[in-house]
Amino acid sequence: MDRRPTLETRPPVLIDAIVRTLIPPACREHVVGDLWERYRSPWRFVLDAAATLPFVIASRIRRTSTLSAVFIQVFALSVAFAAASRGGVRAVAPVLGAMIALVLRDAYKMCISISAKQVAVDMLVGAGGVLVSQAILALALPQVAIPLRGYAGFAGFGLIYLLRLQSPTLGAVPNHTVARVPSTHDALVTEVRLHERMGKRARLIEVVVGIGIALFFLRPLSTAPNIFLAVGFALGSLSALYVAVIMMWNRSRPMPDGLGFGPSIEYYRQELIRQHKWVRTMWMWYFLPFVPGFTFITIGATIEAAGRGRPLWGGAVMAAVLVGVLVAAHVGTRSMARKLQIRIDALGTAGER
Amino acid sequence: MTLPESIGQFEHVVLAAVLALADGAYGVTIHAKVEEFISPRAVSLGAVYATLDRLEDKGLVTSWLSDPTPERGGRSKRHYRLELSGERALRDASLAAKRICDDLERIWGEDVWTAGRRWKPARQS
Repeated sequence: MDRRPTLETRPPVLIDAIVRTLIPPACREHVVGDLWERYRSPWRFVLDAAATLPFVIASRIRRTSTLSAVFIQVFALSVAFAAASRGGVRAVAPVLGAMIALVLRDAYKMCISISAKQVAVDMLVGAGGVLVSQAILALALPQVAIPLRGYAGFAGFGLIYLLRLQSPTLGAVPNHTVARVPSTHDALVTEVRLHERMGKRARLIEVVVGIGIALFFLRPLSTAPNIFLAVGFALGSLSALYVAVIMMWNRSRPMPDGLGFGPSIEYYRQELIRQHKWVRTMWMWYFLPFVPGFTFITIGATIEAAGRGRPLWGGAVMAAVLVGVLVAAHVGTRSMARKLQIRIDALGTAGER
Repeated sequence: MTLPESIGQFEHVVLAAVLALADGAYGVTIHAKVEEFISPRAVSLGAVYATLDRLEDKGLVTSWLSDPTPERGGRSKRHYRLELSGERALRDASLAAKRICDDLERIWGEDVWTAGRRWKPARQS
């Protein structure tokens, strides 16, 4: 019988399985391979993996989430949970739980959620994050957990669902991916058709949400306690309708069938140039129309609070949050315009070749 | 005229390692080369991955997966290569570093880089 000591050249199966599970799938193949190549002993392997994992996860999150998209999602969930549980402090834990779950879900996904079903699964993961946060609070700090009526805040996921259906990448597309042009005619046509489908869906969502917001502002308009609030709600309703009409007007023509590779690239490029123009001027026709309405609503709400002897800082907070949302949306559209320009340039270069 | 992409100090080191390793540039070798460059300091393998991802997003390097190898449990290597813009950014950063080194040589003396030489700070001379 051979009694020579054997040299262990691979990590224990259980440790390897745990490390493999924790590494995001998009970089699992090469990271696990590199860790195997550096393998000396089980302890060294665990230490090596523990030192590598935080960087790999953070880098993946940087690639799959943008600050502006996170801010807008936090805003939607905060409003929903704060309104449902009638308290801002109680909304912190569910929003934090949901955002951690959503950001990690985005980092660990193999591909971007495009279909309605895939986005719904993302929302279920986010809702799971809320439930986990509440379970932890129920054990540690029950007085901060949201009351039963606070669970109506899950409606916030409806807004995020629409936002993610409207923009599946949420702006998190690396430049090197944007600059990659399909090399075959079939791949190009598939991409153009997907782009057309996504554009049509985004436009439909914008129109429906715009009409929804316009109707939403009509209800408090009739019962507004002061003229500023009434004017604010009326302007808000008109702005939403205006944006819905503009979106209906912004319709792209689908690429005709049977075009060759060169003409297809040129057609796609012209369509992106048109979109780039829309995105670049978005602050003017999309965000600016809402500013007068929200200004009147903030002034009206502050006057109302003063009349009832309530603190006035609520108006300042409301204005600051709205400015924050507008800035986040503006940063998001600027980044979108930059990415579109990279794509237009890449298609231009490919067309010349 | 568009300015070349600006890079940080660690990005500079990683770009230099990728260029030095040529066809053999992948996670493990890049990490070893980076540690050789910044010796005696140590650096985590994860920090090298994060920097490579950032450089790739900036369009300074490209990567591709090689065929799987048995010593890695049948897994592929992610190879890296400098893009033209990456080489340009590396040259610009190195030029700035060289200018700094030239000035320091003037202050500390030409043999300041010689191993084993006792370095004397300028304020004590």
